[in-house]
Amino acid sequence: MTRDYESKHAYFRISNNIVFLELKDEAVLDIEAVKAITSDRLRLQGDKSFPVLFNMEGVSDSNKSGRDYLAKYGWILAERVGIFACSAIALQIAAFYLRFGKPNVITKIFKDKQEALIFLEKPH
Amino acid sequence: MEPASNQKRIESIYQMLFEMAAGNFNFRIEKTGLDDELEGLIVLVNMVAEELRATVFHNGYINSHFTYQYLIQNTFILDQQFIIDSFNPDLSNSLGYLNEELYRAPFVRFLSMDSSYVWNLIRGPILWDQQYHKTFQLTFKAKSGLLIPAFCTITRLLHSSKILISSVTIVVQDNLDANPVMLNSTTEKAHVPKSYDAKLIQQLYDFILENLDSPLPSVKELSSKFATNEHKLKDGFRHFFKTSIYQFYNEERLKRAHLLIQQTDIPLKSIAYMTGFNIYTNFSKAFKKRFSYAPNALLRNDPDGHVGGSSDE
Repeated sequence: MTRDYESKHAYFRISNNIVFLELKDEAVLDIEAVKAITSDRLRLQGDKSFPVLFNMEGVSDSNKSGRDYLAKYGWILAERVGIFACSAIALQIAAFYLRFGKPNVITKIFKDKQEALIFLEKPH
Repeated sequence: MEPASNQKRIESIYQMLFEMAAGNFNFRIEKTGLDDELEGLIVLVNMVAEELRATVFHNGYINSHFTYQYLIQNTFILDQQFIIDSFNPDLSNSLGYLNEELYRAPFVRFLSMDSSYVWNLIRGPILWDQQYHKTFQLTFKAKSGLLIPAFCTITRLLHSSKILISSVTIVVQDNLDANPVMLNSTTEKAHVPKSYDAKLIQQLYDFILENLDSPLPSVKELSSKFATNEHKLKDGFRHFFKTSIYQFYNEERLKRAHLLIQQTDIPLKSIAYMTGFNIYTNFSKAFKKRFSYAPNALLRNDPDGHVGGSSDE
């Protein structure tokens, strides 16, 4: 089942039992954006949990309160998170977020979308 | 990209690192909007400064070379054309400009690109609202080119057409006169400040956040887990976080429960269990005590958090 949804900050899709969350270009990961993305994702998922492919390529900036909020509250009903980031800025922000935000869901960063999908599809 | 402009960006990174080594985490490097490796490095350095600033000031972990922190207040008075009419004498020290460069210059000249955009949006409202009084973040551009984010209060003044802008920045300063170990000529004992094991407390803090879904182990069990004594754990945690271990744990799990109720359709009994409450009535009592309304009073699936919903549990 494929569903497409677009919000102010991101594109959302559920396909193959995985939630695809893609940040829009020039997206800024501040607390307002993270709150909006999280509630949009939860509305899409209903009360079912999914693995999430989080495409961060479009990110242009972030701040500590946004990263910390994402780590602490942003992954409710997410089984595990595969972050896709290969450009310089996205990769730095993703790596910093993972190391210092300390998300409480299994999170891995991938420079390759296929590898990310393999990680997400694997039954745990 | 020309090599000259890249050199400028690299120099700003050098400058940033020197400032940070000196304990100054208030600057930020201006971004160019390019998508290259150098920009990635700039973004990383800015994030490090942001993170360290929070650590230094929130947790009170201070580099032993520095003993004083100063509050720097920057005050501008603008006329109706938003030209700087007056400012505090110390402003030239904190931003790096000469007094002559500041006096009668347009205020917007000292703002970053993003902040000058914000500034232009509020110029109108500042003029036509005699009661204008707002606080938000503006980013100043220091003489060196580095950026200083600051929380500014912008306000109109009564009985005047002038505009007041006031901002506060915390700066760590080296004070060679101060010595943490002071020996008097009397036989007073040397006063040595207590040291706290920040790393240990950080681990405890992380552990609590990662285990909000289970009841909290006793302090005895925790001190055994972290190979220390109960006093160090309790005292250290309170020193850094100004609250007790259990209070922090309880606050965090209730906050998480609140979010789960708001954002999902998971049954309340499951949410209670997911946030470390084995008995539902304990959960509901604690929740009501914290938020002044019962868990079932909270509107579900509403990110704006309106209170008021079904009355059956």
